[in-house]
Amino acid sequence: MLLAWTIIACACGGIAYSIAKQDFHAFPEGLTYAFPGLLFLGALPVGVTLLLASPATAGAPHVETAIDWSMLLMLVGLTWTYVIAMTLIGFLPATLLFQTSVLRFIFNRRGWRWLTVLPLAATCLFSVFFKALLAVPLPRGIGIFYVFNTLFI
Amino acid sequence: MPILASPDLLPLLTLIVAGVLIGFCVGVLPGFDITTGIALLLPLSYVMGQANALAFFAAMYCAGVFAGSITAILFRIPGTSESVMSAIEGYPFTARGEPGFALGIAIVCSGMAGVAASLVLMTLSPWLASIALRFGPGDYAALGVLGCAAVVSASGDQTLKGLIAMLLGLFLSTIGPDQISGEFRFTIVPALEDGVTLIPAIIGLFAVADVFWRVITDDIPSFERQSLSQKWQYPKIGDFIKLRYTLLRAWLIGLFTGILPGAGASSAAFLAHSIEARISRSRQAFGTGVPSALAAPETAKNAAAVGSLIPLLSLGIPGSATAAVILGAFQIHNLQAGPLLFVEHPELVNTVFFAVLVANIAFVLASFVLMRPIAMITVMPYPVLATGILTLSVVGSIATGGFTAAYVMLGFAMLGVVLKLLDIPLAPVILGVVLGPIIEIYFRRGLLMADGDIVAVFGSTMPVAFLSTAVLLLVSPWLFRVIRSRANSATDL
Repeated sequence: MLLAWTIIACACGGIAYSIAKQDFHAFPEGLTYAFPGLLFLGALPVGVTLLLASPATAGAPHVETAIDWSMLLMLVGLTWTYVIAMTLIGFLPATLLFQTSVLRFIFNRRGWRWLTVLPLAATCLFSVFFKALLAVPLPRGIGIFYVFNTLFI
Repeated sequence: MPILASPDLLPLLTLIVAGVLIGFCVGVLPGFDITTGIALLLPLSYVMGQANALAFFAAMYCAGVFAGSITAILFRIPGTSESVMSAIEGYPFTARGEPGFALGIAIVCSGMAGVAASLVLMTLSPWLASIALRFGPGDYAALGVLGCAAVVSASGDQTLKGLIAMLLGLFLSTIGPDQISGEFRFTIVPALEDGVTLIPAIIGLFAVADVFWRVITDDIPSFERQSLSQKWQYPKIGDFIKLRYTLLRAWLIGLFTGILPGAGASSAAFLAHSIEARISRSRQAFGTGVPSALAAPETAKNAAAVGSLIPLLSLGIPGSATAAVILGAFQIHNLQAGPLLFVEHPELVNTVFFAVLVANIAFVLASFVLMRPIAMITVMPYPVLATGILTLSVVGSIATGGFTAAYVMLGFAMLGVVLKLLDIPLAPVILGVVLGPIIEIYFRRGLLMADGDIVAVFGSTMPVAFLSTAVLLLVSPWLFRVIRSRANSATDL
């Protein structure tokens, strides 16, 4: 039901937006919003059908599946932090920290093999893969981290 | 110059073999689809030549589609979504001590199907491309709509959700600079000003979203490792002769399913298996280790994998989600898949044909030699695999389009999780992103050429045929449902 109303609301909003932005004076050169408008127009009956259709037709969402939302937040947060960290501290420390964090906080692994040896080996492997094989310039960070990363990549 | 006489033959063969081996490793790993594997390795295209890159990914695709059957048959864990039927029908052989027989059936049937489909690829693609060269803008736009309808109808009972996914993908393709007027559309954040770039979108939607989903639903693949040290008995030629009608049937089903945009190798395997289950004399024994029950999906999926390259090369319309990912390799090298490829880069097309044929032969030979050591890769714990996928995804996205691409990738990963939560299929989204620009550009170009007369654009025979077929494909699931319910109520009476 929520999905159907979301689609209907987005479709109506999209149709209104496309009509407002469409340059009808420059037909057919100004048909910039024609295609998106048609898509929104097509989405409207889909949303209405979904609203009227039985659950068997629409398919059941994963309401019975237990979702660990805190884990999702953590995963997204860690990945986002990894991307930002690479700009600041460079590829090597950021990748090492990211891998260690994921193994520790997401997969609950402990011990020096999991949290030290494995991330170190993986970071070296990825450095070789991206630098030597793909010749991709890896981020080096700023300041002292730039100097550190330059020593290796 | 013929490929076999070319000085680049050795590097090409090396890359094809590398593609086969990497495709094997990717396909064998549970929780790691061949679509995801190709998406993650797309940045490798930058260091390869055009022809070599396409040959590498085509070889990887052919081998990867088959490789999932190895763990499916040995451990009842399908390495790829295409190998689900192989797990159901192949594992009973292993359970009664005949893993070699099942694997032999799978390898030879897949190889024969792939080689035969390669020959069709070589003959049908140029013919289709020559027809497509005469297409006008209206023909292309209508063909794109047909492609969308085919993808949606391939969603089975979830046609409505497939339609939602397709509309979402088509809308996402409109974000960014308009290709005709240059105006920025729906660019609410600066990261979207270049539009939705295909490779980070694919990486986020398939690779990262899958990892996120498995973690948050605690669906981590695991299995008990079994000993592979016993001697295996392989099938004999007589066993394959008995399966000749099954192989032919499944091959045709796979090939046509693969050519149809959106259906892909998974659908082909299920369809071939269900048809075989209806007409086979030993259908009661299906699920207990019947050779035809295993041969049908194995044959169909590899035929479909090669078949999906036919519309990709000749029309520029991918026949499956994986073919859509391979389209990314074309984009990296500024190539336009479609009929003009046969005119402007015939050597490239021939290289792809050669690579697909060689890959299908190579994986048969490699399977018999490397099956056991490659199956051992499955001991890799999922946390290691997942961490690797996430790292590769982020760095691969940055390598493709800078940090903006990484944010786009993350955005699509979140979208992928939401879509999985709503049970909306992901493949139509990516196919929508790919087909959207094709439909819009040709639609508007046609209108410009016809001075706004839409009848002139879509009024000729081909567009009418394509659009009618599209409507039929979209309404057919509902029609079948109505017919089925009326038949059931008539039976009840």
